[in-house]
Amino acid sequence: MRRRVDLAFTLVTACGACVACAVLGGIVAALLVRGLPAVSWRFLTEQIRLVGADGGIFYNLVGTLILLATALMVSAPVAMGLALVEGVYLAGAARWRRRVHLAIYLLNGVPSLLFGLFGFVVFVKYLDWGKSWLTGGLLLGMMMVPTVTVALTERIRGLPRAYVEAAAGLGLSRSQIIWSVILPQSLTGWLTGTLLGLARAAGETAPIMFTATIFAGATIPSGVKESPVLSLPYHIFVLSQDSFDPAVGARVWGTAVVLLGVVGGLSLLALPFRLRQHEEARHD
Amino acid sequence: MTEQVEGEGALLEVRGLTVSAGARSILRAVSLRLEARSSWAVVGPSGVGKSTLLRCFNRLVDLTPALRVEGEIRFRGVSVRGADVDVDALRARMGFLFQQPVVFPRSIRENVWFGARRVRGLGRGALEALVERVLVAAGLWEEVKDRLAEPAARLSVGQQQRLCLARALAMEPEVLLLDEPTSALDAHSRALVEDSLQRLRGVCPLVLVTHDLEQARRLTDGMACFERRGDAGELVRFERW
Ligand SMILES: Nc1ncnc2c1ncn2[C@@H]1O[C@H](COP(=O)(O)OP(=O)(O)OP(=O)(O)O)[C@@H](O)[C@H]1O
Ligand SMILES: [Mg+2]
Repeated sequence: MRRRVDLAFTLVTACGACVACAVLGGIVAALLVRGLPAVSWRFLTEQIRLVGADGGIFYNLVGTLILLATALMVSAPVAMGLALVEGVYLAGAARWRRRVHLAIYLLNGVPSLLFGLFGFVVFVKYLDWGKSWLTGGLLLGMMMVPTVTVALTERIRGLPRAYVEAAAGLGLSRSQIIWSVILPQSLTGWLTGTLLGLARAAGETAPIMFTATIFAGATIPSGVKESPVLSLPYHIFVLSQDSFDPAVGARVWGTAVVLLGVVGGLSLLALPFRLRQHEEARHD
Repeated sequence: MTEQVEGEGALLEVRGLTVSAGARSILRAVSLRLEARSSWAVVGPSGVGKSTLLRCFNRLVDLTPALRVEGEIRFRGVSVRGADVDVDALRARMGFLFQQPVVFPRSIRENVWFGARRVRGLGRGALEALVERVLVAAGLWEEVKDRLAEPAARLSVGQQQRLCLARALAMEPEVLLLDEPTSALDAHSRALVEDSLQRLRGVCPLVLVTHDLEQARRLTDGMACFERRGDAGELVRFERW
């Protein structure tokens, strides 16, 4: 009986894994088959022409990279601050720690469309920035904060107490311990969380469509106010809605392949750090 | 005034020290006086609170919020438990060696000057000179002088403990608090650590927690014996040999 239950459980688990892999494989295969023929050096280095029917997506790629770089710089200090508050400064105050924890999970649950509306009301209208790359970067950065914070907090919590005690025993102050023991030794956690967060942010459309990105006519922004960028996800969003032109269709799939490449590249970059993290955990 | 004069001869003076975790006492009503210019052993069975006592001296207990400390401790006549004490500065004056060596994931050289660079604020030149001096004092120089840039984690446990000793010495401490520093080591490293401590005790008093009475006799001038009474450790004997 036991063995039968075991076997059934194994089968169900294996089926689940197969379905997940098949869905992923199917999406990737469909994208590659339709999109790869459109991807070429010209496609990557030329700007958009004829409302997407000709030319390439150079400034869409650049715009997405600008948004991601901004999101990285916004999320890093906020997430590090939160993780330190949660893991170090509130180490003795379980109640407050739970509250911060709850706030982080709530933030993670906020739909991306609400981030977009918030950004529209506050930055676009109230601060009168118009559409700006900075708003998009700020919003994507805030959306990444929970992922980065949780990865970092886990790493800080997993840090052997002995390191902190040894540093304290030498007379290092708390901020010195943070800078020379806690942060350097949880850097891989930060990097993992950041790369995963960026991979998700790269494909978000809702937070940037009213606040940061337009379809055509923007290059590299030179200021903040009224300085939108092009982006990969919004390009796909617009073209896939109202286009019956086959030349446009091929380019939409090509853009999707490039976006997948950005996302996949970021996830792959995170992989070695995650593996190393597991290895270290085993050695401790 | 009289109290100050009385305190001046003492390295460490403890009065009515009680440490508890919740309802349970770990150390109860410990009073003792360790004279300056001497070294002392702390002995007793496992779990009697020897490490806890040592951690009270440099206030590492503060890092364990579950432990409550009552009573008075004076280091060279000055209370270490006052609210206005600069805890970081106090810890910098007391070298601490743990039972298991703790090296940071950095090079050997950076481990040695880890505290000296950040707390004493020494410059590069002074640090380089310091590294050699304290590694010699810790009996590790010959083994590592050609590989100071290598990761410290590559050293054997015995070498790591000597590295930790060197790191503590680089702070030029006024006392060394040693929590069973040789119990995790092989015979060779134990002998080298003991040699170093033997040389050091003339310059810097030791407070040595140990299970090894022979070691206590070799390295110190007397000992405080703890035993368990009920759930808590108490000081039962104090002798000078
Ligand atoms: N954070 C804590 N919470 C509760 N009890 C604790 C805590 N830390 C230590 N204790 C208890 O205090 C007692 C004394 O511990 P301590 O490590 O000081 O003993 P020790 O004499 O150094 O023992 P050993 O010779 O094994 O190192 C132990 O019974 C331990 O369980
Ligand atoms: Mg102990």
